[in-house]
Amino acid sequence: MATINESLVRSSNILERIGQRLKGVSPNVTFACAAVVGIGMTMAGAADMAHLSTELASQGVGLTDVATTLTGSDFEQVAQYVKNSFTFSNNLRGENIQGMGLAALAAAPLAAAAAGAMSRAGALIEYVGLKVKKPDVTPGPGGIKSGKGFAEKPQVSAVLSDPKGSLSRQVNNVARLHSEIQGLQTSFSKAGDMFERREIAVQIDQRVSELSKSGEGLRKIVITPEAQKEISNSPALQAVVKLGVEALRSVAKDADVGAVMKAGIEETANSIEPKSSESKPDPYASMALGS
Amino acid sequence: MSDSKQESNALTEFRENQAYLEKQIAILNSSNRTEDGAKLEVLLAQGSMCAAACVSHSDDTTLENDLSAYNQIIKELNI
Repeated sequence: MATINESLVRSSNILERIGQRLKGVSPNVTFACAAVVGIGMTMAGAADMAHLSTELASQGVGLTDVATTLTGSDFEQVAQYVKNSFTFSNNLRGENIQGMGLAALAAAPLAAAAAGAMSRAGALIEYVGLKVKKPDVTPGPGGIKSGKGFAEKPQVSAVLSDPKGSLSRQVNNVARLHSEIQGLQTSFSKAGDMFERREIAVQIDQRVSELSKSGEGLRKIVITPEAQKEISNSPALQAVVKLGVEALRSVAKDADVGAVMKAGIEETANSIEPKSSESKPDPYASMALGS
Repeated sequence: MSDSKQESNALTEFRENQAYLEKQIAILNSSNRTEDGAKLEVLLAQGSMCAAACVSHSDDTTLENDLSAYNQIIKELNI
């Protein structure tokens, strides 16, 4: 018999294996796998640090520090987001499996949430993944017109803003995409028959492809100077953030995810990788995730 | 996968596990073990992802083995 935490670790390992195997074959699936692995490992890690101990010990990090950091994560909120993102799977059927692309899109902010949960100091990361409230979704004619007919006013809890306004634009962009995704999801689940579902599934795939090529789904997240400072002062935070970034970088390395996403992940890795105490923190180091 | 194609045993077992986990999540949440309930939600999401990969790549038998391994995890789960 195994505990819930042990089961989460084992299940995460399976998903990680699947993600590795499907690299370059199904980038969307791979990315979605990385997202659920990130969440699973984070949640299991709060009470059972054994799985991370090897990596952390090699970096001279004490487990107590990391456990203290992770205990602050809001598990219920994370789980609710997971639930919302994977609603499609509750109706897992052969003909709707093309919703995989949709799930991958939904999983992009989920990955951000995973990174956020691992780095409590990076509150801004969490807010993109978790604080975009569920919009009042009303499918429009045709079902998947970009932004229209689904959520005229995406509700975003913009708790932090860039003085220059660029962050607000990014947030609005993410919120609009999020609304569109949820609109598609609703439209798909409410489709009257199999033929209608297939028609929508084809349109979903097209939309996913368009977003992937244009890089429109790029999430750009700014880490505040306060968060950066906290990360700089905490070897535990640095180590945990680094692990999360390395996981994303590993997934993106060989997958056909597009130059924009690859650049975004590289930028993320470079910006939040542990820096020496002598170096001055970049006040607006940015983190980007693509879909 | 078309409707006419027979579902794999692993997928059928996953559906049973899915129902089991959903029931356990409801029980945990109603008994103030919401943190454990949240973790099971994630465990379920991981299984769904695993099953979805299995269905979308039905020609890859290793994915079916992965789903079987996941099902085994649920069997051994002590809540």
